[in-house]
Amino acid sequence: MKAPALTREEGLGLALAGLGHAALVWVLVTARPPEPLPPVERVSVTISDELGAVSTSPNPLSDPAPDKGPELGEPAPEPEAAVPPPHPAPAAVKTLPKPPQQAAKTPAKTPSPKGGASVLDPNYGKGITGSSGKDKTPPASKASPQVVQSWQNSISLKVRSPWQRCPVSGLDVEKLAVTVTFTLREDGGIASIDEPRVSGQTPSNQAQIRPFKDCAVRAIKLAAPFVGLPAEFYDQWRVRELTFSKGKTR
Amino acid sequence: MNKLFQMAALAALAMAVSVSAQDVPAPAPVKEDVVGTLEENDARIAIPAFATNADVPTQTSAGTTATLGYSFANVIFGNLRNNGLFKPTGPSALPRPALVQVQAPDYGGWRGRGTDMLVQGYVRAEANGDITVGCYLYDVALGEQVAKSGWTVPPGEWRRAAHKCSDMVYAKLSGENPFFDSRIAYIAETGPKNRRMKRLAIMDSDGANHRYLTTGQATALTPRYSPDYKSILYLSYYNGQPRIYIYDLTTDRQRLLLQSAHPLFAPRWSPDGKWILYSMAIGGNTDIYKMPSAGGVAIKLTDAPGIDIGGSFSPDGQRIVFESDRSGSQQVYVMNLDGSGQKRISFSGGRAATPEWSPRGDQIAFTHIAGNFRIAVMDPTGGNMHYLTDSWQDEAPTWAPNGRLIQFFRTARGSGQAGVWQVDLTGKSERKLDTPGDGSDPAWGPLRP
Repeated sequence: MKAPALTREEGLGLALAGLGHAALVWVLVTARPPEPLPPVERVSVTISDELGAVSTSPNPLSDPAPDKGPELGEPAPEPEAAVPPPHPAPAAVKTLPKPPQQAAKTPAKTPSPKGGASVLDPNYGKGITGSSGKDKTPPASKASPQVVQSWQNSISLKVRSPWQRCPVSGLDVEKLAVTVTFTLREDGGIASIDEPRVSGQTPSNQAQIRPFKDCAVRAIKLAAPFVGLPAEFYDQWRVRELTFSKGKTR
Repeated sequence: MNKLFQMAALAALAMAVSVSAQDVPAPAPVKEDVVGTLEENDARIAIPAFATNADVPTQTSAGTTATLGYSFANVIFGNLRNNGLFKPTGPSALPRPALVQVQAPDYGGWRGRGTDMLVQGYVRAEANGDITVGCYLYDVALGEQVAKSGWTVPPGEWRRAAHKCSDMVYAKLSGENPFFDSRIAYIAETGPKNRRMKRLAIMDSDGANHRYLTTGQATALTPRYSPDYKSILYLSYYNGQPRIYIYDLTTDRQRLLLQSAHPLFAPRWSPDGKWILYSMAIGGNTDIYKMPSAGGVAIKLTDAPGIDIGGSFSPDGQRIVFESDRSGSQQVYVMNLDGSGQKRISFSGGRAATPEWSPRGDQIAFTHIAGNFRIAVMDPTGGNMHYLTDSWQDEAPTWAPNGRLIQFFRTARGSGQAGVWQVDLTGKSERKLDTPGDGSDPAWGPLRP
């Protein structure tokens, strides 16, 4: 059976479709790949999501004191602080000079603790009724993440100054990073320093690798011992890993 | 069955291992970054006057051993001050240590002065007139000796020992190869613009020991030290006639290598000193040739229409970087030693001229022309181009022996005065070298043998 011949329109349409496909293939083949994104520049970030060793949530058993209204006007003067007790304890007699007789007899008049006038209702000044609590500073009994972070940072902060004085400079030196893992003793001295690891090498910064490593180790040695770190958290600061780099200021 | 038993035993062993590993957990290290800034490099180095065993006269230009010890420290101070890595304090502001302290420094005292590193040493006059110098580098903060070395030099070369000491300190602290103990050839320019006298001159890397080699009757251009420091290759024009000479520094005589009726340009040594590259213009078509440095038949390396000029060898001697305008404007190209494989590498806009391959091989310095003339560097594939200078007209870069510093000449707008300048590869520590008059076409020689 002979296939029906294409009409002129069909032939034209087929040709156009063929051309369109050819153009699409040509575009896909010759299209340049998108420009690669520039490398992300290194920034220094302090991550504060570390948790303290112990929960620092508010104490559920705290017993807050009632809030009181403000006192307006001139505050009352404090009672004189230097008033000696009329009868010093026997143990103190040997070392303390004898207080003046007059002062012992007549202690200074204690002014009324009341403040100046208030425009508020006197009841407001008494605070919320029905609250019998005495705690004026509800305790945060354990180190908060921020506090933990602060003594952790104290190590890197101490290392930064000697690191800054390391004379490293040259082409591509800002791409180098040296990571040093070291272990501290409980007294904050250095127990051991591992061999530094290097990243960001290029043909142009090869010569800088040795002084970079030397300087990083030297900075840790110079910053040690790290005193004042909490002994109860020794396990948290026993092993440290610092990554040293030198960036261009922007 | 047996297999099953083995597997069960292995599983039990694995569990036991994992349990025992959990018993003694290794604490994960706390990770932090310590980021410094390159702009704040300030290693504080103290360089007090060198001590001496006895203050006696010497045959040096510096006087007695005591004044020589002072001058010695001053040369080191000048070297270390001028490269942007250190914050040195020189002998004028420091106490001179006693001879016994040279090998046992007073660390506490130096720490009190805020010193990080200490460079000190001694000077001793030998019976035959030679000078012996000991040079010591101490890490004051850590209380350790870092490096030491000593040299005995003829009295006329006492500055070389100071450069060697500077090189020891620089190489130890920076990790880079030394470069202070090297020399520079350049073209000294004097006289009015229309009758400019251009003489071949040489000097130490710090500008000392300056000497003119030619009288100025012929115009000298584009000098280059031979790799063995024994001679200088340069181009000379006398009454419009170009000649390429090799000046022998040991005998102060020169040998004519090539004379031509056609203009000649930019002669260069191969790294092994056996070949000379040069360019020659014949009827508006300039090409690059090479010929044996002992003289002989020249081989033509390029034949593109237009100007191919100024080749410079890669340090392994296998490739040549040159300048060509075959694309319509001056650009940088590379080719193999026999002229094959010519390929353009500069595509950074503007024009690119006078390429010079770094002695370390990792960079090519060139003059980038886009309005102003600026010194720039790129890697040998043409990537990572960056500028080192930003002035009206800086051109003709030449590399320090360690490939970390570049000299070039800068022409002032208006006056047209030219001077030799230096900059490091990060574009910092730019400074002008002290020359008796104007200077152009600097050529930094290799480290002295």
